[in-house]
Amino acid sequence: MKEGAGTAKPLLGRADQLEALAPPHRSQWKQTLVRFSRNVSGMVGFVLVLIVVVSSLAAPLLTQADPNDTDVRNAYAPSSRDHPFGTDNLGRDVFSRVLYGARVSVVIGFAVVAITTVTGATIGFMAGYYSRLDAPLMRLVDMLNAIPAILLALAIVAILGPQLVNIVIAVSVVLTTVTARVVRSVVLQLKGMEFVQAARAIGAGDGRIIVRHLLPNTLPPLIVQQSLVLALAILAEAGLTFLGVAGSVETPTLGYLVSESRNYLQAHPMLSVFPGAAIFLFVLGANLLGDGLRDVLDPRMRR
Amino acid sequence: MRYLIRRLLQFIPTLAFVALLVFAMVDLAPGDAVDHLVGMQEGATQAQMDEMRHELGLDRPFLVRLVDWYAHALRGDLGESTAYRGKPVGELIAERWPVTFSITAIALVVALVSGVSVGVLAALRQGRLADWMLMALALFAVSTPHFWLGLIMIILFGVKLRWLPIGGYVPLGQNPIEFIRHLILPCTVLGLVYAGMIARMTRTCVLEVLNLDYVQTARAKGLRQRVVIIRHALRNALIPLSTVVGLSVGALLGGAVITETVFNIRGLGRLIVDGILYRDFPVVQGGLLVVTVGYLVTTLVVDLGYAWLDPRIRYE
Repeated sequence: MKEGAGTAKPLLGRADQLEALAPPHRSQWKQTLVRFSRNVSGMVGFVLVLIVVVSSLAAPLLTQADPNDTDVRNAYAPSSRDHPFGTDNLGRDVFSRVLYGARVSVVIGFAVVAITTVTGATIGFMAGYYSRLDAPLMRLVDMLNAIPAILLALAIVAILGPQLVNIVIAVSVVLTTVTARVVRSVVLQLKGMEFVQAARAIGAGDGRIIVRHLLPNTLPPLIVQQSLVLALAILAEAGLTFLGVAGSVETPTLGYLVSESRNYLQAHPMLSVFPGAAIFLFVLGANLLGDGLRDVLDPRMRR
Repeated sequence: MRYLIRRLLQFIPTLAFVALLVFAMVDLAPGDAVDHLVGMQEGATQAQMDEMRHELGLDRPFLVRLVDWYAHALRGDLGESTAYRGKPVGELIAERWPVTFSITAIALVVALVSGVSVGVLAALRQGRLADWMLMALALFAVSTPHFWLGLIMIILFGVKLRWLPIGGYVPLGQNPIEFIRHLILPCTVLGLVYAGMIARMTRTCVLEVLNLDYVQTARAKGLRQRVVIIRHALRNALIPLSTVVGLSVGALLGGAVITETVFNIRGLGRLIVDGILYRDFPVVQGGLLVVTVGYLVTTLVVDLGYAWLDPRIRYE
């Protein structure tokens, strides 16, 4: 064999010459990154999400105003240098309220994404890989889906209480069903493929097949799905806090701010516009990010 | 036929389970109606509270109450509201459901008509400016929190322009013109948000079909573009969309809860939310049950319709 390799070399030319002709080597992920950086909607979405996340995390740097400092004599002030978005009914700085509110919403959104990634992938893998578990698990998912999503989340929050952590739990339960479905269908497709059969033929156990062969291949659709889950989670959180069944005065989320502003809608409509616009930008960003990632990661969409 | 029977057999356990879920979830919530009612008056003793619980039957074991609730629900008796001074839940729901039904039904029509037409137009202009603009519009729609869109519409059409009422509801039988005027804003808001989702799905479906061989064949035999699209492409492209109707109804019913709050409409959704706030469990349980059953029946009808439109589904 060694001799064969040695004699073949001159026929093909010198190795360094060949390398010069070949395109520069890039890993799979690097190639994907390059493709993503050229995807307009993906990049716009990424930048939007980044702006919201960074500005909410850096809130103390962007504004000196305390979101809960009241100054009743200075209520309903119009936009000014001190108060870029003006002040609300109690003279609180709306700009800092939106920033700090976005902070809570961002944390809730990403917490839901983290939780549903684990729970959704686990349920999806169990249902997709182990045929015996498929029917019972999917029946359960179907039944949870039989209750309209917002109402299910509402009911869960009603049981657990209005704390923010319960919003995370309620929204996670609802959205886990969505992620689990996607993962299951991908696993079902992959399971029948030859590379999985080959792995089994050489004696790989279930654990090894799942971790080494199936998991890497479910990642692309899972990443796409989870960026959409981020969008859905933010909308769900905003809806729940808007209805007034969850959330608190001390840590207002963006939805809570919109709900609070409703009372002054007629005279001071701008109070509702700002926090709502923040939700819109964040969700739009997450949706665009998801669309861009799908273009890049989903091979069926590739042209 | 076998599909029909199988689907119907599936429907019953789902219904029973959902009813169980609804009852158990709400029942396990901490704090009951007595806590809430008594919490408002000072000086109630533990004995008085226990007596109240006994009167309301809240001191019985969970299983007994569950079986009791099932038995009554089957006869159409959903118990009595604790917050509305013993008014039967069935009566409350009967008052409220036409409101939510009108909103959801009209919003569904708005969503389907605008969503499908935008999706089809975008698909036919694939890659051009019109496609790009329509899809941007659809994306904005799916990204908008609809309570916020509702508030902006109220500011614009209700407060600034004063064209439409900013909230409330007038029954159809009382004044048909006011009925429509009051529903324009809520139904447009609710419908438009889901129109975005439908438009995106429609576009994908139509594009898939346009690339199929039989559409190429129709073109190749010299049919005009319009005939190809309407007679051949759309007919099949819209079949998978019928499942979207089922999904949308669920989303719209949920969305109606929020819309009713934005526009101060006393519908079923508002009834449930208020029930949660006042710990009025019979109302929450009954309301959730009715909404869920409505949703389940819709999906059943849609699934059966789908099987009828696309015979392949039966062999699955």
